Amino acid sequence: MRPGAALRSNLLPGLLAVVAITFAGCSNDSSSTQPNTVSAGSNCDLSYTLTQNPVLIGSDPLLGDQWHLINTGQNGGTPGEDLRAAGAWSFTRGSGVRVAIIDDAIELTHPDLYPNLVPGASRSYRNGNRGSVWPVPCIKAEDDHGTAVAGLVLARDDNAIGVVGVAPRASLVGYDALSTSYDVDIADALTRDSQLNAIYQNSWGSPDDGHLHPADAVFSAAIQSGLLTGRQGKGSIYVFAGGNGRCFAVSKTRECQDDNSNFDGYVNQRGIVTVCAVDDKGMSPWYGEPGATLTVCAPSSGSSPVGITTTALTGTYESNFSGTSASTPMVSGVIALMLSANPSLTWRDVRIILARSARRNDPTDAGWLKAADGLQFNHKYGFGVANAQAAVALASTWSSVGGSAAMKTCDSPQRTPSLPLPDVTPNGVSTPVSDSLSIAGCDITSIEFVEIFFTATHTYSGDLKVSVSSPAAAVSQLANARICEGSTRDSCGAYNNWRFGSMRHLGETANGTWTMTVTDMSPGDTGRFDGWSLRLYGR
Amino acid sequence: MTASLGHLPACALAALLGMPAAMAQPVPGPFDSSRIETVSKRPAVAVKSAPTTHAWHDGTAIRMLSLDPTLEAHFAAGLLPQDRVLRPAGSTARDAAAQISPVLRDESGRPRSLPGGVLVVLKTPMDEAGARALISQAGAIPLHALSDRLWLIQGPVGLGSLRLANQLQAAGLFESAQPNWWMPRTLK
Repeated sequence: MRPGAALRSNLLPGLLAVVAITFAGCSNDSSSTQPNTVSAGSNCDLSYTLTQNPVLIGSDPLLGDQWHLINTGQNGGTPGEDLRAAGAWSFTRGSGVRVAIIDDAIELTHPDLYPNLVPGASRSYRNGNRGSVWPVPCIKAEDDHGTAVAGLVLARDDNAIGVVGVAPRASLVGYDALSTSYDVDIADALTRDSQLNAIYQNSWGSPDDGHLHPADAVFSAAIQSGLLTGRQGKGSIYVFAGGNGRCFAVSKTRECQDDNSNFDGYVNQRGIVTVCAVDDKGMSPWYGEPGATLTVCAPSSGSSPVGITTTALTGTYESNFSGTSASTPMVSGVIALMLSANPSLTWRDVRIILARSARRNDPTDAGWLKAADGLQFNHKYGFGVANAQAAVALASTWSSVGGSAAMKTCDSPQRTPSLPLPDVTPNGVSTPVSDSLSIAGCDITSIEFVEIFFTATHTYSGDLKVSVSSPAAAVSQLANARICEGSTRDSCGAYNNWRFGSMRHLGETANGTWTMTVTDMSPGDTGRFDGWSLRLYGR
Repeated sequence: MTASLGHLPACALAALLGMPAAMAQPVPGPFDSSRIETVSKRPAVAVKSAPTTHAWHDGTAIRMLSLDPTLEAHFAAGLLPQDRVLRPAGSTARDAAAQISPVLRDESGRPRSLPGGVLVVLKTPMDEAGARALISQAGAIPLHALSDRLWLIQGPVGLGSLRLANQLQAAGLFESAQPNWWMPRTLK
């Protein structure tokens, strides 16, 4: 048990086991030959014995602890600061939608998950057990992440045990690609059974350390393949965690250094639903990582010791799951509800509906900015907190904007201003440096995503604050200044045609003047603003 | 595992607890900046002795890696790579069948290693027969397709697969060719 974890036993163990789980000591792979035994592979301290029993009917005893679903203020939070999930359940609970959990391992035999399992569809990539359909946890002390994630998406409802997922009748597929962390396994998991899996849930990414972390081209190729061909051309839905890197470190003067989701190459590209976290009062938690790439937030832990209750290893439950790891599967669950209500939604529809149906939390926060179509955007919150009830209602009547094939793309001219970036003066004055470009003749009248490619030469790239403003005068904050940790590095990574992404311009028109502004915020290093360009996506 | 668990916040708590990030445990509670790692900006300095560097093609970009002489990666069936693959250089393999690869670090200092295999992106979608013929024409051995454009090709554990990837990239038959990297991902 992890320190601080509230690990609980099934409250009614004698009544309800869908699967009885037997734990062995160090087991051998040979046990997998026994028909009712599931092996995680060699050198594991967990193994599982399946015993088929009927799923019972009854209320879920831990539902009251799941404030993220129904927040009544039970732990001192603000009533109503939740996903509004109960309001959606009268319409759908996610049946007919397959959700693939890509994680370290998933305890598919958990009594609250097994009823929703798609038989034979999961895959283990773990070295000793490649090709198994049981990507179950191997080491009790380590492989606990994916099981917690899965429960938040789709733990079974009304089965008289444990918790409830956001989409409790959605179908579960598990891929343990992070157990190997090979590029080939990640790419395989992101594209496997893409005609059958609707949603690929990913509570993982790059380190939250302020450095620029590009995603390999193979990752992007897998994502673009899924968007184009998945779900019979409607596109696979990729949901990723936005990160926990706010205040990832402090300076000698105790100033927080913040990561930004735009420094993570997995989430700064087209087609990713990027998820942020809010606490039980609807506020950004102290780890809440900002970014123009954020789509919507969902509940998680925060300033008070109130975490998220979900499934845990060996058929039990925990109450302190946290971070954007917890928020992300909640949004995957909301999307499962949307797709259950309207299976014809494309990946583009899903993103737009999430944004339009989101609930504006923390309404007095100064970071809320006016956006197109009457929306508001906040670099801490995206378009707000996912609202399952409103999203399902909107999805039910939605007229599709089409999939990848119908998406329009416009590329701006490549600008090469080669402007010097003045250092901060001794009295602390920074000088912004700007360059503009004009887009004309682009037939995008409603932007869905913007990619901004930026090149600068600088002796400490972390000094730079970068933003872009649109013809509508809407500003995307792309990079904040920060100091990066590390003993072997002299900077936070080179801006060499670095791709930033932005959801902030959703619904705007492409044509007009766009301006990029770069400001050196810290003394001691200088450089040049070499070049930039835009790629706009929309309809 | 270099992961931060889904249980916050790894990098900061790891420093606090004096342990690797993977070992950091969740401590939900009020923020206290005094418990978080302190960083300072270091001036850019010339590297006195350049480390051994390697280049690889990430799509159209060329990325540089430096050899980390202190570590090696052990790949073998039964090992759990994400958290146990990195070992001190010269250490005895846990598994006699383990294959050992050098550890390289990218610009951010993140480790990568080479468990074997090369991933190629085809210039256009192809059926299986066509893709196998094209890969064979390039002098490589196709293993299996991940999509109609993405293929895994046979390659050795270690720097041999990096060399093969660079050769395939230079041959120009594919949109891109890169090693099948092992690289830790962070659980959020």
